[in-house]
Amino acid sequence: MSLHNFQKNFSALLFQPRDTFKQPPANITKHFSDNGIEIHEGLEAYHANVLGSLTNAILQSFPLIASITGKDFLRAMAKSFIIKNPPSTACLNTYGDTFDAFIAQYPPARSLPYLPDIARLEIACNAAFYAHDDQPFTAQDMAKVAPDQLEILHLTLRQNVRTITSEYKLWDIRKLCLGITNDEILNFNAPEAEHLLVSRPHLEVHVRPISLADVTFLSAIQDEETLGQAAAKTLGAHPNYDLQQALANFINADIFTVDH
Amino acid sequence: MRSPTRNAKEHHPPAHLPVGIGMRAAHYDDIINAETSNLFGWIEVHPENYFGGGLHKDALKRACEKYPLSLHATGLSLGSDQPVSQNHLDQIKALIDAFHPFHISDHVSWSASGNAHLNDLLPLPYTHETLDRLCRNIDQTQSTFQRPILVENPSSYLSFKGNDMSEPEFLNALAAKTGCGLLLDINNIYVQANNHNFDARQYLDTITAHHVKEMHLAGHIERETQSRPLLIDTHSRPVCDPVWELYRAALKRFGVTPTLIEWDQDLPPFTTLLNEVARANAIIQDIEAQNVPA
Repeated sequence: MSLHNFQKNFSALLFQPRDTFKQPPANITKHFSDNGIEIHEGLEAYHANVLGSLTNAILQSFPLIASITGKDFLRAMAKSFIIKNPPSTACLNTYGDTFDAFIAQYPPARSLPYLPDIARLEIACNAAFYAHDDQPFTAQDMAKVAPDQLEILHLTLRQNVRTITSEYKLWDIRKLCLGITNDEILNFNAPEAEHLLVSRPHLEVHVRPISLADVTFLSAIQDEETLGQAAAKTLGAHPNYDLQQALANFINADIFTVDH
Repeated sequence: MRSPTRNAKEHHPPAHLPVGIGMRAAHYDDIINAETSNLFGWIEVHPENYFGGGLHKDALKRACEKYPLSLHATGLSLGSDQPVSQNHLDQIKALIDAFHPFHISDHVSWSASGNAHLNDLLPLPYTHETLDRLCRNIDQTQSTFQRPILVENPSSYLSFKGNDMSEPEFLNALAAKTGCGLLLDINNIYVQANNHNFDARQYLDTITAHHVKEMHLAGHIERETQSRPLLIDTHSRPVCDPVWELYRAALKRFGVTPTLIEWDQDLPPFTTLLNEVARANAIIQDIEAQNVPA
């Protein structure tokens, strides 16, 4: 027996639809003896374990989607996703980080065009939740920077920070999912871009709306520009942006760090 | 082969509290914020759940201030016909360096083929080819960690044709060739004996005693099939009576050994886990009383 070929065939089989197991292929059955329990019954047990545990991983990471679609719909969508996108690492903390693109192409979800936006938000929240711990750049740190050094100060976003630009009114949709509002008259199917900041100052993930100018500024910081360069780029595009206030707010929200 | 070296920073279970509890997120408060227990002496976690930072890492730090730790990996896929992911090993090594576990373990199974990770403990034929591959992967693991690991006997739901040796013979060979220790999951032995028609006591008798460093106790479910129930190792139920009896036999044969109460799905209230711990403690005390010379 070749262990390599056996494992390749066995893992491919486990991602096949359940009906396949009624008459499993000979390149699998030849390895096993019917020990009172039929081979297809053992295979079904593994199929159920693998699909079940991966489906649970998706269910845990996308509670907002479940609040819109119901758990059964999400479970069926997750199974289709898993079969086409098995995890590529043993650590499942961020498994499902391409679920948004999958949902956008999933025919049964077509009537909910804002679902990929919600998936993007949950992917960002999940990444923030599991991000490595790093030290925030605080107001005290800022106070120690000499005025003539501010221009060339090099901040970066902490590993737990993400910005999202949605196609639909994601901030309102999120509130609806969380039961903060039951404003059903909102027309969620009408595209309207919103910008959200996801971060984890300490242990809890925070989400809040930000402006397009904020996104420009944070993207410039993310692109490793100095504070002076990021400010110039942002004010060039958004002349009325209150940069000083925005910077103070972001520092108080613990979203920056400095590379050491 | 490497001789075990004990790191001074490792925090071992106290001799009078050999039973540990698997710490799951739903019970963080019960473990971290409660008084230190006089029932259980250590905790176990799956390192894969602590690769990132944030809430889980914070909980682990606080729990390790109170209890010795055993790291029980599920993702090394030691039985895959490919090397162990060095990135995965390095992330566990970082946890070892931060938290100084007294044991590190994974399973005699596989879960990865090529780039696909199936997140399950899949079955292996007990052949010389499998033995060679597992030994290479255990060597790679032990050389990254700079210490011996323990490997756990699996539960499986298919019987291979053409095994070159029995499961306990295979485990003995692994330990002898690599210097790793054995983690005997008593429930898994019971499950295997049922699913593959062998005698569980004979299995215990075949295991080379000095390799056994830890034991696990957990619950399983029965899955109906056309002939007889297939037992599935779910860690979702109390330990069943025949497994407690097998545990008693294992303690008689191997002596008192750090023992974990494992519960991973359908988590019960923490008091249910403590009841399981108390039951294990009572059996240990029985065995110890029998061993005291009259």
